[in-house]
Amino acid sequence: MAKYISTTLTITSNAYDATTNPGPTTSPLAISVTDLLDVTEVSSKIIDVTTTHTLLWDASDYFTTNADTGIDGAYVYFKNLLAENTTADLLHDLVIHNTDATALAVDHAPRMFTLQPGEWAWMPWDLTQDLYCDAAETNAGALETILFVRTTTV
Amino acid sequence: MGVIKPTLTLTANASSATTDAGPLSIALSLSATDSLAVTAVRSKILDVYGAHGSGDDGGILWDASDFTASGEAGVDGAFVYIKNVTAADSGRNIMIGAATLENLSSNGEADRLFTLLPQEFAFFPWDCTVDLNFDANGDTTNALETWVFVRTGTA
Repeated sequence: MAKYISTTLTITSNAYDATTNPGPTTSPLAISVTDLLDVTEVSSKIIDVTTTHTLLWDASDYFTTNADTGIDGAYVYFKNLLAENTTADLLHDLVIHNTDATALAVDHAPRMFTLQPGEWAWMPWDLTQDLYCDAAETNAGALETILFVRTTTV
Repeated sequence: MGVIKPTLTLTANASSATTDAGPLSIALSLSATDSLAVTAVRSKILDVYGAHGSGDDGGILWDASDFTASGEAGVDGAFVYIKNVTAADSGRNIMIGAATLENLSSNGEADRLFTLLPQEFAFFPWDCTVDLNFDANGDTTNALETWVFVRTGTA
């Protein structure tokens, strides 16, 4: 029996001349998308981070044959749970990357993205590489991540 | 500088529900939101091709060098929204990759970050340390919508 999750993303901004939280364009933005996704399994964890990169999700835990495009995969949610000290303080930033190595260097290509405190991401994941988290200091309860396995994954 | 407010809502019914049953015995309800300071916005809707490299920009979705010269963690970057806007029954899968411009559709291709099935979407930061590329399993016009919001502080 199919099992579903419903996802909705909205991105809004005020017009550029708004007095509160002015947006980046002269017209307000309002993007809204939704989807119903068929999934078979859910895994969730909140991890502590250190200056040694942490394996978040091991692709080999979720398939045994190969990573067929459009068939095998999952959907991943990440959120940086840390509080921001100051805007200039990068110690609470969390780096998501796809190689078993430190990923904080400038222009480090395997670094997928950096989540500043409070930031989050939602994306599919094709299980063709492992996902890691790297940080500039040790912090407990720093990153929440939830994984939903795509139903056709074998 | 401007502010955008993205919100993600993720819900599921309990597995016992008679309509759209969820993957767990309990219902899920997750909501995340944030206010992001950005300096620029770009948007485009692309045609996709099965023959990789014949599409707009030769398969480059976003070129990192268009946005920053440094790629410093936590400073330089952007936020990317991508949606496969083909019809739900189109069968048109769109692959998103990083690193080299290449065929991303091979099974097990390590440079493929993810595949968007029709109507699927993603929203994530991007550190501008690699280009983002796209590929598809066939030809469709106006298939891939994408937006970039440049993070304030990006040099």
